[in-house]
Amino acid sequence: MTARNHRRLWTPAIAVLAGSAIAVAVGISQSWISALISELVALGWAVSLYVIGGKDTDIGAAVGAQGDERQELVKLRAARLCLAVVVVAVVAGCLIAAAAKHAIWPFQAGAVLIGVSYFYGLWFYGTGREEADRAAREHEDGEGF
Amino acid sequence: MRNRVREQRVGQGMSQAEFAAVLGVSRQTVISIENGRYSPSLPLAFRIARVFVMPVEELFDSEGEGR
Repeated sequence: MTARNHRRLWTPAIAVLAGSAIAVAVGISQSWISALISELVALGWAVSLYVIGGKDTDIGAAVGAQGDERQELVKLRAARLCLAVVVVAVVAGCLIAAAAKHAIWPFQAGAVLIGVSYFYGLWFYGTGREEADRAAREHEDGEGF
Repeated sequence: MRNRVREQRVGQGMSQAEFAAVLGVSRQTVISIENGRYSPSLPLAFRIARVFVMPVEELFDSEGEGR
């Protein structure tokens, strides 16, 4: 199996791992029948992702983690859209939970994680990596003397 | 960005799939570049220019791009 095919396995593997974790949580909190159904859904989703990842399309390249520069850009734009939807969903979920007098901390925790990772990303992909590289170079130069 | 990629590729008798394989990109990306929907990065533009053995500025025309 080539490295290209290995990369195609990443997304389905993550789907199986996440799906299995959810299935275990469902099994512990609800019933093991529900957990089995949850696991089967996750496996079906993973198989679909593997099949889609092998297609010669932009979606196939994104799912199969083997895109070129334009497909990476397409993936980035799709991720941006996805993030916007997640932010709206978190805010809506928080409002609905608050109105229904349910716990809102999971939504707050999600919002904090989204905010922190966004600003970390701005710093890291903006100047953070350059600063780290410069610091490493200066450190190496200092050792040379 | 307008370009002469399709004209050059057809002139060399290459299919889009063959050209994509030479460049190491997808066929969809070759189609997007030829249609002017995607402006390639500098490294890719230079790779394309090397395939056709011509200067990059003769291959790509920035006229009409926002300045």
